Amino acid sequence: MTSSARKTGACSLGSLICSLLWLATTHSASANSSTGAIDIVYENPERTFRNSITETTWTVGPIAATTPLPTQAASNPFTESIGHPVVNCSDSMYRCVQSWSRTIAIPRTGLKPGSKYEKDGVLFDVETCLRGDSERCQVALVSAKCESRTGDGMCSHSRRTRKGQPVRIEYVLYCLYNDDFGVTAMGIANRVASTIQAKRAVATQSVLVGERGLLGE
Amino acid sequence: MDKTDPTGTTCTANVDKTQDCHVDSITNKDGTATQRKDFTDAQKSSVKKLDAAYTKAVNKLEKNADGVATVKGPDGKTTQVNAGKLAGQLEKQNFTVNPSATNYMNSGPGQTYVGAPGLQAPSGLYGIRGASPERLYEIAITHEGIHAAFPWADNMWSGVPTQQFYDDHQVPFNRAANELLQ
Repeated sequence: MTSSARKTGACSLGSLICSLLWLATTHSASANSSTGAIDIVYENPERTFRNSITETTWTVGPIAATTPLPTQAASNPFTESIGHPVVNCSDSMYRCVQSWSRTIAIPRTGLKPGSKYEKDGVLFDVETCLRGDSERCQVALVSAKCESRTGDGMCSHSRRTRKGQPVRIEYVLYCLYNDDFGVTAMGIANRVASTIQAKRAVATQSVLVGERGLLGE
Repeated sequence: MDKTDPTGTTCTANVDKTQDCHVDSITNKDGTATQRKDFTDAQKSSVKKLDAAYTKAVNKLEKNADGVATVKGPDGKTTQVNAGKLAGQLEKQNFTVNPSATNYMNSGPGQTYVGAPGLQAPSGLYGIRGASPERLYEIAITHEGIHAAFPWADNMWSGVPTQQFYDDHQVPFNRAANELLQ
């Protein structure tokens, strides 16, 4: 697909797929060493761990040293990458992707300061608007909370909260979202962080490598 | 006997009902793949140890098909894994060797990629002591099989940073694999 095709709406089947196709046709990006497919890639700041996301699979694993230390050269450590299927859960209201039993969704109409929304039982909050005005956040810190799971694995938010204490929940995903790039960083915790600084610290566990992130327009 | 694999399943059943399992393809430097039936003698030799460990692991799991082990996750969560289902997944899992990949093994839905290190037994595995290299090799393959057959086991760590999941799951997966291979 060409960039002109994107502009004419040929990408309506899902932003993730569209982003990947756009990456494949217009940008050099990280190539999966196993399949040759073009990935959206997030790495930790230390560049020792990578999330590679294709249209079908979200793979996580360590990044090996280019040159092993002499003291370690003789060993043959077990290292692995693990892949899970990617599900495009987008609909008329949200661009959405699910993998590793987690959901990330962004409203098609964009983010607004203080807005809250729900997708598949996951509660989303615009925690802070980092660039924008009173109507629109171009850059924001967003949380996605799955408070508990039902028997079929779906997220629900019936869990009681204890006042004054961060309650352990199934997961909370914090991400930084930028209208121009999509999700630029993300991270996971099992307790709601109490300050914006703490939320940003979680959100920067994995940082986008390259131009195009998940759920970009 | 023709041990090629025209059906796409990676293991073939012998008359005595044991399985014969093997690498399906090797990725070449130009990104193309050489299929098993076209392997050179050198390529066959390069995957010989992996084929042997893969075959042994599957047959041990089949022999213990009713065996169940518990994978322990965080916060008291557990997932039961069953040897018969695990064997069945490994039998149909496609194994591709990619000599330029630096990881030992990479597993996704239906597909395991094996890097150059994975052509030999690992030098050690977290949570496993005193095992022979052959045993370690079988545990490593079975560990990958758990990811493929029971992907929801990974989800016990859904509230844990991904890198921490990577580190924390090694011991419970290795121990469950070791238990099922008894």
